[in-house]
Order: sequence, then structure tokens, then C-alpha cells
Amino acid sequence: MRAAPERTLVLRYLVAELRASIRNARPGDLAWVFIGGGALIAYAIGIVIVRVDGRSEQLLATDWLWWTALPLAMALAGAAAGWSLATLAQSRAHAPFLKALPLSERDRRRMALVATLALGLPVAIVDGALVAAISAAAKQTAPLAWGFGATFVAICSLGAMAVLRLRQSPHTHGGSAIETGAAGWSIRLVDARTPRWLGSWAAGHVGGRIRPTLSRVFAVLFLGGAAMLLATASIVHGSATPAVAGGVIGGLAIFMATLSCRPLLSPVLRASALTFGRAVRGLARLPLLLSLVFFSALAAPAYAADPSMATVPLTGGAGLLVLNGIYTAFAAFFAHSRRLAALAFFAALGLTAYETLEYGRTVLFALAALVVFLWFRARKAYRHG
Amino acid sequence: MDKTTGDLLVDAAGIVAGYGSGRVLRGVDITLRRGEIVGVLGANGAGKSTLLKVLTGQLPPLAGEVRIDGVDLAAAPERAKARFGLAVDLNEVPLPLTGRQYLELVASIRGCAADAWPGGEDAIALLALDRWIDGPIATFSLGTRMKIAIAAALLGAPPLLIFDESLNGLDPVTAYNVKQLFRRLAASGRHGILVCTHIVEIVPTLCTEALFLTGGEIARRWDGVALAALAARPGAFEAEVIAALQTGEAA
Repeated sequence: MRAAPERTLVLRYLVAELRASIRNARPGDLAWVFIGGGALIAYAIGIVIVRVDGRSEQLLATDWLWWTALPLAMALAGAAAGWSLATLAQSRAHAPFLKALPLSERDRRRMALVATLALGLPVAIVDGALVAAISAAAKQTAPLAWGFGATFVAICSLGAMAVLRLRQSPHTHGGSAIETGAAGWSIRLVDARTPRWLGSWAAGHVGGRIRPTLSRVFAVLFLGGAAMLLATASIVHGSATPAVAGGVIGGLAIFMATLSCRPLLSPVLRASALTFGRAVRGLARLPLLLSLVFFSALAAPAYAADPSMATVPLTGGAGLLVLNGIYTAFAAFFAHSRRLAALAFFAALGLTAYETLEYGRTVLFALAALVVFLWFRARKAYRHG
Repeated sequence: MDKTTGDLLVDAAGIVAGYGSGRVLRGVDITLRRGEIVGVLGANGAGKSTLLKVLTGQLPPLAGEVRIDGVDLAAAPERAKARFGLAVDLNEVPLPLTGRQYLELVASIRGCAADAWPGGEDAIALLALDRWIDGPIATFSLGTRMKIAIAAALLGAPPLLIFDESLNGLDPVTAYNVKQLFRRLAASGRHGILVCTHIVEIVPTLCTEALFLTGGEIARRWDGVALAALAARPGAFEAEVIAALQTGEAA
């Protein structure tokens, strides 16, 4: 009879990976991550607590905030953590060295679930502690109960999402799966410019062809539908704003979803004469094209809706280019993880927006300095290791 | 062979390198000239791959200097990297691309045609890649992936060719063809070749110099004369390497 498999195998594997990456990191990088990142998070939490304390009466009077928005936010945070951690744990449960072991699919799912819950639990507890602190700052009755409630919602959501994710194929969302089968559309015209085929490599388009997968068809239909609605809204109201705002948000979302800088980590590029700037331009070519095509599709109706405000679509287009450029620096710096790049990008934008409203435009220089710093650090890592 | 400074393709002195606070290389000196084939040997973890990472600009040395064909790797990395071709590890080849697209990518970076092989050789035929070249690399066997990595290293005929365990997993005919190709390229006097390998028996007949790394240091060196003498006695070189390995383990 086969012995029951060790259920914490994936968890121990992930912990060992984390230890190894900390051991192999340079002290300076670790200091940046722990001291710099920790200080930034503490600062952000401090701001939130002070703000909440100052508006406690107003917040206490807003029932929907406590009974609808807060649980929803906790559920979303739990779901996001559950999805990400389950994807990570599942990839390790199907790691090459574990593939050879006599483990059933059920065993692997169970090991991945144990790892997801073990790693997710502290995240949910931190979420709950934050809610308790905010509740205390808002002078809400029984802040601890709010904290426990928030932790409970986050754990339930995390567990449900993890189970849902682990029931799917390990290759559905990993980004490393190789698509084969249907021929698809060739992107030779876009990707055959020097350096050739970089976009196909980064996005995993096999043989330089985009295949009509279900998720891609859904994304195109969703974006097409949203574009039509926004264009109609602009024309009906005689205002360029809905179409331009939708174009900027959609264009940025497309750019972020399609840009992958992972090839910057590969010796194929790093041990070659290709400069960092050319490599990033090659990687951003296709995402930028898709982003601008979406924006242009909405800029035309925006102009038609209000020709007297021709500067609005132009400003929106320039803004989209700037946002895409800023995200590119984050994507190049966090080339190993698109999720981390997106998270850091939104955190930086959120903090900058808040501080700018609070202290004026000079704060924008800090964002510009951060982008320059990330770009040069990524360039240094690419050129010298 | 003329051994002037102008022939130096690799000139690395006092290389100290590692990961985090750990040191993997502790003062390695290595030179390689046009016309030479240098073999690097050592146990797993001895520092062979780390040495190649330093020489190819993927890991910055903590001390020491690397010059590739006279160009300082730290000061002008792109110019230095244009002087060598590296056969990347099997796990690093771009899986979604077809073999031909990968070669086109490398050729576009090096600014050459996708069939600019050194010495007028036809690497695709030599490596028996004809059947596979238009298929996705993801569908290749390990040996075929290694062949495409070797072909990519050769593209554009860079003066320095670097191979890390590249002869592993090749079928006997291709392995023979690759070794013959290395000999022809080195004999042309236009190329120098650096080979890291665990296949000890090929070293005395293929290489003009061999280095044995242990504990991040070069513990032994064999020059061309010593290798030729050992090649004449079957098994002699292997015996020396095994003895060196056992000494290294004991130390």
C-alpha cells in the first residue's frame, strides 16, 4: 500500500525557495526591500489612520462603508491573495522534480492547498489587524470584532478562490504554457523588426502567431463592447470625457496585460550586444501598438462628440503614453513578476496622487525620480548582472 | 602560434564573485587566445557556471577585471558582448519561438544574416537541425534544444565561442561533428573556444589547455604539451582529474 504523501511538501519547497532567494540577495537590495518598503508601507498606514481619525464622525455615519464596502474589499483582497498564492503553489506542486514522484493529481492539489492556506493565513490576519486599527481610529465600537470579522471574510474568500484555482489545470494561468493547435494570426509585420520576434517570445505566441484562445476572445469582446458604450456615451452627451477616460484606462490596461519583460532576465539578451533601451523597446512594441489602437478607436468619437475640445483626446493620448512609459520602468525592474510590477505601479501612482493633492505638484518629481531610479537599476542589472 | 596580447580574447585576472554574501570564485585568472580551445573542469558547485556568468557579463565580479578581445566588460558591456557567442543553457532558449525565429532573433541582434556561419560552415546541416528548424523549440528534445543553442552561439562568427556543458546529450554523430567544427574554427586562428564540461575524456584530444576548478580557485592547469602527452595514454587524463576531484573533496 502506498504511504500517504507528505502534505507540507509544497509549503516547505516554497519556504526553502524564499530562504534561498534571501540568502542569494545582496545586502543592499535586501535593505531596499525591507527598510525602504517597510518605511513606505508604515507611512501609508500612518496616513490612513490619521485621516480616518480626523473624519471619524463622518465615517461612522456612513453605514454602507462598514457593512458593504469593507466586507467587499476584504473579500476581494482575500480572493486576489488566494488566486496568486494558489497559482504559485500549484506551479510548485507540478515542478519537474515532483513530477517524477508517484503523486496523484489529488495529492498535488492537497499539498498546494496546504501551502496556499499556510501562506495566506498571515496575509488575512494582517488585513484583519489593519481593519481593527482603522476601526479603532474611527472610534467604531468593538474594533477587535471588526478585525476578526474582516479576517474571517478574507480567509473564506481566500480559501474559496484557492479551491477554485486548484481545480483548474496548472497551465491555465501560469504564463509559461506553450500554446499549440490552431494556426492563429501571424504578427510577423509587427514582430519581424529588429530585434526580431522579441514580442512573440515575451508573450508566448508560438511561432509568432496569436491564437484565438477563449480568454483572448472574451477580452476582445469585453473591450470592444466597453469601447462602443463609451463612444456612444460621449456622442449622446456631447462630451469627449467618457471616451477619452475610457481610452486611457483601457489602453493602460491593455498595455499592462500584454507587456512582459521576462526576456530581460535571459542570457539570450543579457549576454548579447543588445542595449537595454533597444531590448525594452522591442518588448514594448506590440503592447504599445495594441494600447494605442484601443485609444485611437475611442479618440475619434471623442473628437466627433465635441470638436471644440480637440485638446482633450490629445492630452489623453499624451497621458496614456506617459503612464505606459512609467509602467514600462516598473515592468523592467520587476521583470520576474508582472503582478509585483502592477502592484508597485498602482501603489506608486496612488501615493503620488494622494500626496500631490495634499502637497502640490512638486511631489510629481518624486515619482519621476523613482521611475528614473527603477530604469537605471534595471539597466544596470541587465548590463552587468 | 603567435601569442601576442592582440590575440587575447579572454583576459580575466583576480576574479572574485559570488551570490549574496557567499563567495563562489576566489581569485581566478584565465586567458584565452585565438586558436585555443580551453576546457574548464570541476565538480558540481566548483564555480564553472559562475565563471562563465562573470565572463559573459551576467554576474558582476566583486573584484578583478574581465577584458573580452581587448574590451573592458565592465566599462563597455555591449561592445565586449558583441565579441562572443554563448550557447545558452537548455532552460534559457526561448521556447515559444521556432528554431529559425530564434536564429533570426540572434542574427538581428548581431546585425548579421541568419545563415552567417563561421568559416562558411553550414551549421544547420552539421547539427542535423534541418528537420526541426521550423518547429517550436518547446517541442524539441533536449539534444535538439542544445543543437539550436550551439547554432545560435556560432551565428555571426564571433571571435570567442563559449559553451557550457553543450556537448551533453548530443547524439554521437552530432557530438563528433561539433568537436571537429571546434577544431577547424580554432585552427583557422580567427576564433578561440571556451568549453565547460563534465565529459573528461574529450578534453585531452579537443583542448589546447585545461583548467581544473575547485572551491572557486584554479587548482590545476594542463597546457597543450601536457594534454598531448596524456592523450597518448588512454585513461591517463581521466585518472588525473579523478585524483584532483578526490583531493578537492578531501580538502
